[in-house]
Amino acid sequence: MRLVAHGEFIMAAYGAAVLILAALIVWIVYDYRALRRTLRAFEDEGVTRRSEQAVKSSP
Amino acid sequence: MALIDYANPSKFLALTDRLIPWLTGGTVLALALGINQIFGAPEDYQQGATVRIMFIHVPAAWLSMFGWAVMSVAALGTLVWRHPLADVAAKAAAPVGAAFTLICLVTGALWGRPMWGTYWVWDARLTSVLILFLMYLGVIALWRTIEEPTRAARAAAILTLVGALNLPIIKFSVDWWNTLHQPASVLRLDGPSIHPDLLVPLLVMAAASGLAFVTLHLAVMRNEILRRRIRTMHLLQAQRAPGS
Amino acid sequence: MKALAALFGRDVKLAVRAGGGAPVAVLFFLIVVTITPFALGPDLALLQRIGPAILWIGALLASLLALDRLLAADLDDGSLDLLTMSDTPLELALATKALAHWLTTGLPLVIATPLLALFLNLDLAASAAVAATLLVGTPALTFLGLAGAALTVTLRRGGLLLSVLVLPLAIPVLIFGVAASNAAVVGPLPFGTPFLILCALSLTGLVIGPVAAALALRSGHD
Repeated sequence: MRLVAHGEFIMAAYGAAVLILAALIVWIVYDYRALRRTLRAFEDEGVTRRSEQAVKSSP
Repeated sequence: MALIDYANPSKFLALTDRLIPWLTGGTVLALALGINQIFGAPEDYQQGATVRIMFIHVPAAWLSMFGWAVMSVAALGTLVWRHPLADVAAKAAAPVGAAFTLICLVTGALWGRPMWGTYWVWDARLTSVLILFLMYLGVIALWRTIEEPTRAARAAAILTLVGALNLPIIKFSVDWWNTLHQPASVLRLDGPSIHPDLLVPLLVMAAASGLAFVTLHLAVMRNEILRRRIRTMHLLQAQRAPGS
Repeated sequence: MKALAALFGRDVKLAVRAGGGAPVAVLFFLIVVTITPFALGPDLALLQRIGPAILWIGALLASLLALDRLLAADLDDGSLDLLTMSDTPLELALATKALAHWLTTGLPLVIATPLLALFLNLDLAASAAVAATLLVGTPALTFLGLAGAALTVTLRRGGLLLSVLVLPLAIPVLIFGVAASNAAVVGPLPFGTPFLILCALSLTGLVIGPVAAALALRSGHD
């Protein structure tokens, strides 16, 4: 029951936790970058939300 | 600025932008401290070195339940006050909670192998966590199935609250089922009789994991607010398109 | 009250005359029980031991499959909108619909149980115990399913999602149903305790299911 005996399980457990969290973080960062890119593309096209745009007459 | 002002998504977005770097730093520091304590401590524990798995397994188990609690509070916000930020908070908590639940399951299985000689035993705790994981996946599936965000939020809120009412019943029934099918000599993974040498690192790791949860939750919320903004812009663009 | 009685009568008549509901659910139940020995082998002693579990899983799946028609037909012909807007409280109307649904699909499963128990080599006492637990347990499944059906009724591929959402919540019903049946067959445990908890689960479901379903339907409308 020493560290040497079950070291691989401890390492695997910590590794799995790191892997799952890393997957979550990668997803979040990748998603964030893509969303920011899309938002910038909209801004370049001049599309803005109601709260940001000057008063416009609605059709 | 009063706290209530942060209920405005734009201000909340600015707040998350300022908070996330600090929270990330705090999480990394707390994790480093916790890991240092775990592996720096003497290893003459009752259950051998494998007890080190507990320092991630137990905080993950706590956070798996904490995640559902966050979703339930947010669900009340959705149904009672119909606040869009509550919708965002509920949606963002689901993947983060599911991730911690998965960590709890995987580390539990890896702990079970040396302790019980098998990766999975139908132990009451592990089984309850597995059911919780399935319920998280169900909520995520419901979020992904309904296109319109406010409708999805209300449906998910109802499911979350029904789940929250059911979780104690499930916990009770699984405990009862477990005592029925297994002798009482099931190994207790953790309990009130925890050695103080283990308690301090456990609490540090719990704090670190809690910080990680909050940071990730805020980051997913930020993504979700941006996603809704883009959705609104798509709709506006479609409205203004010529010939519509 | 009169409106509820009319709704109940309409739902029962529709279910009985339209066909496709109860007989098919019972047929599905029969097929689940039939295919199990092909997976396990025709060992009568083994089948007798796990018979209550097979019957419960069969009934659980059969009642689950019938659920997606609980509200879908009413959505298609618009009567669900009428129910939502009428003076009768939606919760009561939905509870009535769930009861009618249980009477036409849940009860036939219970009645079929003693016959199917014969295939699994269960004796009279055991099959009576399984039928009794199904009698008090299947309403809980119907009420939980009512909430799930209300959440998924407007979705195009709601049927599969409905099962995924409802099955984890149905685990306590399964645990106590099978435990009570086993207690009557072999167990040292008394039959009464799990049986009473099963009754309690059904009664709790009677409250939670319609309230959650009404909330879901109303929120889908505005």
